[in-house]
Amino acid sequence: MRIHTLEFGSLLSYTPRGISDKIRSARDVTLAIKTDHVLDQPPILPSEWIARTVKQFMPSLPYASFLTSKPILVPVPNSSLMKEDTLWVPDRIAKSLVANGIGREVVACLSRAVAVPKSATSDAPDRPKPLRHFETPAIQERISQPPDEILLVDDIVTRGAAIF
Amino acid sequence: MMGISAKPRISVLTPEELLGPLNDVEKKYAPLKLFASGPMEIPVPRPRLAIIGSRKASGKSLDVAGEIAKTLVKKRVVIVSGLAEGIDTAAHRAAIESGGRTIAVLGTPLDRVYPQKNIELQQQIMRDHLAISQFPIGYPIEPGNFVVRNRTMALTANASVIVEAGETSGSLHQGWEALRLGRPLFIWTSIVNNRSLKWPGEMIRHGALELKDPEEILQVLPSSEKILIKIAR
Repeated sequence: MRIHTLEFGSLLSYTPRGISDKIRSARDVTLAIKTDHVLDQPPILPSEWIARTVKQFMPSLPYASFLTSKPILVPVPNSSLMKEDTLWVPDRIAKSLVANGIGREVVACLSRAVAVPKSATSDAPDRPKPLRHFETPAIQERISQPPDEILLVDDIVTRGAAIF
Repeated sequence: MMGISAKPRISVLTPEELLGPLNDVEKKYAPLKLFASGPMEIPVPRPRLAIIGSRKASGKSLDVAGEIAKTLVKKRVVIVSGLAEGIDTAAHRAAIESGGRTIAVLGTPLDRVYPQKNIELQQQIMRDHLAISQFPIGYPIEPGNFVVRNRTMALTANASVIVEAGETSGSLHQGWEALRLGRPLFIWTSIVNNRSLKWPGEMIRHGALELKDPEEILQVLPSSEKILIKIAR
């Protein structure tokens, strides 16, 4: 099956450049999301906070049509290889979304077989292109019953190459 | 192994009291209790960077460790290390000499010192900064303690830098634990490009980053400000 279009949306956006208080706060939230490190006040995991916020604002989100109880959620693999027990934030966000009634189940069917450079820490010309991402994952598990809808879940998107 | 002369004043804390709330991945290897001595506020301030590496480091690597510590201290980063000979000592000393703050994560109980030559440095850290240990007074001192301590050091720091390390260095345990926690791990550039070493390439494939300039670390460290958010009920 060939996919011709891919609809996507993001809950939040931030800029990595600049030194204003707002940019600093946005960067702190981004770093907390990347480590799923408990936020200060109120103390809540970023993955849980994201799921609750998506649920709260669902009616007004332009991509609300993705967020039903029907799709299976597939976490996007990290750009690096991962050992067992390693923190995998997209998987944690996907599980929190399902726990909040968004998506049918989480199917962690993709992993990274060959590491690619991290987009966020690469200079623009060195960022891996979508084709590189496409060539480097491995399928861990086949989905027994083909779902009508699949929703890919990622944490921080730089240029979106990993998703595309 | 020597003891320190004065009996240290020790607080008993949980890791969450010392560092703030932890997620389940962070809790997995966190010690049940930590023993702390020093005037630093609890929970400890952030950002915190661990600078670690070989006990028998080259002069150049000792300079690099000192330079990283000095650069980061200017941005109010707390320098974390293990009070070992070599890179650890260079990092603690540079942080102190630059007017910064430092945390020593010990592989011994707080009333013992290893290496003995660092007795004054440990006393200074306990007097003016913070020393922590997961080993109670009287706990036997064994090589395995230092491996366990390295995991605790990875947990204590928001990011870690390995300045120099051989294939069997204890610093590698900390590196792998930082990667498991999803925390940034940097490897100094000369080590990354040392073709006789296999571990840097393996860690980079698992998410470690080559460090060419200490300023790059600032991009991945949180600020000292609290994150306040609104939450849906």
